[in-house]
Amino acid sequence: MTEVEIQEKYIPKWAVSKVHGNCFVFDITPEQLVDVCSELFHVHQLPIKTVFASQGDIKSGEYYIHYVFGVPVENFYIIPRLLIIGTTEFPSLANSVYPASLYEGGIREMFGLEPIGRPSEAQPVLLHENWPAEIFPMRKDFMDIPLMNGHSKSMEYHFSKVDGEGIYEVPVGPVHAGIIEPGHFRFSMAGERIVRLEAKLGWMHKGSEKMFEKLSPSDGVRLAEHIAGDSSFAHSTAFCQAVEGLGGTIVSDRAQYARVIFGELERLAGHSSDLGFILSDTGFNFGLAQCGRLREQIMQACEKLTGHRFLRGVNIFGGVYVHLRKGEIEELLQLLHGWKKEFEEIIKIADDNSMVFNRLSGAGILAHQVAIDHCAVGVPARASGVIVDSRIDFPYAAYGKLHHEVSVEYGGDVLARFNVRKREVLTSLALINEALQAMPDGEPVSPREMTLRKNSYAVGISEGWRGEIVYVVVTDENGNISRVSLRDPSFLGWHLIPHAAPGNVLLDFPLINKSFNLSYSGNDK
Amino acid sequence: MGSLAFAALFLGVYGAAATRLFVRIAESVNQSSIAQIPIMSFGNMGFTVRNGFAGLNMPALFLLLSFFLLATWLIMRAVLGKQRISKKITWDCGFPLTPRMEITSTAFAYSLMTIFRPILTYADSTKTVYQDPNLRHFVSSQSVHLHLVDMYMKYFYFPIARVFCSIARQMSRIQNGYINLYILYVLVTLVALLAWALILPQS
Amino acid sequence: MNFAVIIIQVLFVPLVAPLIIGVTRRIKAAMQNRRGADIFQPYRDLIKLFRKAEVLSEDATTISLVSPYVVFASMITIGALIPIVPFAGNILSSYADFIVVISLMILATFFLALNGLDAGNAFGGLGSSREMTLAALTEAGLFFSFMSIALLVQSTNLITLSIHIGTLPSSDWLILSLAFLAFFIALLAENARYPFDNPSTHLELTMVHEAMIIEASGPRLALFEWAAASKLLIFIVLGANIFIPWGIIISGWQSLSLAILVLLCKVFVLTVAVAMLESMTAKLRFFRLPDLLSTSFMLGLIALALAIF
Repeated sequence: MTEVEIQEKYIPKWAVSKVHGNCFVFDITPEQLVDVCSELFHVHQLPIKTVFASQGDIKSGEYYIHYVFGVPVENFYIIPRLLIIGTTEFPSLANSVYPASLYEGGIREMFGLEPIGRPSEAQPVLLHENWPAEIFPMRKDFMDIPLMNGHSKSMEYHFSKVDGEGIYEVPVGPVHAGIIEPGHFRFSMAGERIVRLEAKLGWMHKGSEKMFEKLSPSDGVRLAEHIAGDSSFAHSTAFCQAVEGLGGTIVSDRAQYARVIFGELERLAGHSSDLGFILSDTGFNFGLAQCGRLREQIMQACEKLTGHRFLRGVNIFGGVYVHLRKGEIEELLQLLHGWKKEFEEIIKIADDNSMVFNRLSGAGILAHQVAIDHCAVGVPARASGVIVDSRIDFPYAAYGKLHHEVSVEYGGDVLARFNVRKREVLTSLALINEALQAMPDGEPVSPREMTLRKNSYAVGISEGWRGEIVYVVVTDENGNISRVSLRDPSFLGWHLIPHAAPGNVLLDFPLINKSFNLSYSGNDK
Repeated sequence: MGSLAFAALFLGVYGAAATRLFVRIAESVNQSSIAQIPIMSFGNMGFTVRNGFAGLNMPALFLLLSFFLLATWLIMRAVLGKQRISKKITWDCGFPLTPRMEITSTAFAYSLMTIFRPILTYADSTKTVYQDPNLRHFVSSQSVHLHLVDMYMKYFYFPIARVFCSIARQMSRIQNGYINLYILYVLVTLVALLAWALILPQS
Repeated sequence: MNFAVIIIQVLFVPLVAPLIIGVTRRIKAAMQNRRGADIFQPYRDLIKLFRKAEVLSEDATTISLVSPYVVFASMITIGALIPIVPFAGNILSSYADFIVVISLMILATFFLALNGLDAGNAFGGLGSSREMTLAALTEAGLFFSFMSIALLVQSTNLITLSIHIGTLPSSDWLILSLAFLAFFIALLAENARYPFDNPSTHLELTMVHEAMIIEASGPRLALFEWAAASKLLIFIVLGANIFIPWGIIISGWQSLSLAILVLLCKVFVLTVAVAMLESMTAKLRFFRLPDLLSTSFMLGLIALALAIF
């Protein structure tokens, strides 16, 4: 569709929209907010990708809130922009567009802008409650306020209590009995049955979004790789795509294919490790040992090709640093051929084991309607029957030229998520094979000076192995990056687990948690 | 409660003596010797109270157990010396513990209750109150109710009571408040008695 | 001779138990294509734990101080009573009643459950609840399997059982096999093996046995671990000497060592069987475990019914 057609279809007649690359930004007032967004969400069925705020002129107290809606297949983004001036309140969308409520909670803590009309209790979503209540880290004047100045009260977090006879609570974390990241879960239990689960995170907050504003763009790529350490390549791909969109850089075809290959290698590593851990939580230790070995083979192949097991330092604006030689391609093809055979053998043993099947099926069911209501992305969404995959909906790199099917299951339970991962591994192997054979010659990176558009927007999306990663980059009037808003799929995922856990026995919870396998660090940024 | 516990302890430790007492009581009822009191019988086979029944010297066993306990303690004391013991907080995974976090007695028994649910017939229901009732996304409060159904009342006493009540209802037709009917009852009874006295042979 | 036999009976179980655990772990590792630790590693683990300083919870009461000793002493007592060298009668033989053995095991389980509830943390109570649920259901199967054999031999004394089972006619072997199956399921359940529990898990939410000893440390933890290993060995020795009775009807000094050797072989075979079974199964859902335990119960009941008629 052309720009004019998009403007005709999605943008209201009275709005004046400006086109920035593939983003259509138009201003709205607080009174028009609910109608515009409801129409985009309910009538046109556009998924809401993220909601973020940025600060305009400090003296006049200007804040902008952006609601990013994506148009699938056409690969455009519609961004209504709300201007708040002189006040710190804005109308909440939670009653009409429910997924926006989560982001609004984050905006409240980070910027101090209060959503009016948001039903749930005002609790910290992103930050730990020890954080002082009047300090908002994403505001421009944050660095000037000395934090140790004896600020009065910190925020409070209240866990909801379930009434009833014999209800007790089980707290797990933040110190876990294993080498995983900190996060707290509060279960309200009736005997062995979970009645309610509340997940409280925020121990891993690193201030990454603020740091992006201080770093140069190429250092920003390194920072993006460290948001969620095991999805480094997908994060850096999304960030690079956003900045390339701002700079108008053309990425060579060879680099596009290389990005596909490395992205899928990362997916193989993540999924094979996940499958092993799910099997180990059922007690099937054989699966854990073998899948761990498979993952190690992929990581060693990554190190051989790029010098880094987690594929860091590979992405850069304009392409990738790594030139894949013919011999390396042959080796990789051969390794993956043997790998696929072993993988299928191991999975067959696990599938034939009826005790494993019995343990996995029926546990932790995430209802289809809940997944749709929360705009879920990634493996949990696909396992509940929601057909979303950014490689097909918003094609990036060379995915538009390659063929693959979305792996969708309809059970919504742990077995469905297990099967989705299994099928995605096979799809990835096919994609890597196709990409390796179809890769055209050329330079992997185009060394060019890049100047970014001024006062502009760009959105970069990539499909990490957990789900969809969204980066929105905003530049100021000098062409420097003034705001980067990132959304890791774990941010949505942690609010899906409290819907999947109740009704299950507490013994099954580690299994359910492992089947989602979300990143604490990606959530806390 | 205390006497029950004491009785259990006494019967456990001094089972042999208690059994001999019981057997003597049974024997006085049954009029046969101690060695052949039948407890159950299947044709020509049966369980009988033989001489060695509950004959184990329980106090000796208790002494044996305490001997090993003391021996363990002494050996450990001798080998390891006086141990340094430090007191720290209970393991809480890094989040302060509240009194609500300890398991409750209902929860302790819940698993067994669930397994024997067909016999125990309890019912548990969860009530959720939402802040937005039409879309049901934001929960404001939740509560769980557990109620036991009294099996004996439901399946034994109430049916019997129903039968008796229905019989009584039938009988209550006699009492309907008409004086004339009551006088008729008196008359009928008198006539019946007179007839019975006349017809019966003189003894 | 009598004295030597008593010494052997008392010391056999605590000394050999960690070796059995080591062998089990080694076999499970081999089944996973791993090398696994040395079979004598549990001894080193115990020594390491005994040397550590202890940390007690400030909410703990006397129960936490006393229960490790009670549990360990129960295991030693049972070890002194079970038929390790059964042909040599000693003063303890008359106490070797299977009801006594089961009751002492319940005593140990009871104190373990109390220990789990004692400190008041969130996981100990859960572990105690699960353990008591499983114990309540397991005892029936265990009891009936022994009862059926006791009826065949007309005695409940374990020493008598192990000596006379070898002389039973082969028509009774069906009862023996059924009783053995019921006993084996109870073995897995009582010792927190797969499919009931994962003995090497680190997830507190899924633990059954480890959750009850979660607050123990240093020498008290060593006693708990040793008691758990002893319990496994006790069950295996019972299985070996009662259900596989060949190699017992001999007497004299030289045959003492032969008898111990034969016992060790049988124990090793059963250990391998347990380890291989553990590697091939996954953990069952918690509320499916009563099904398995009721299978054990039914098998014991059938064996009992066959023994009566």
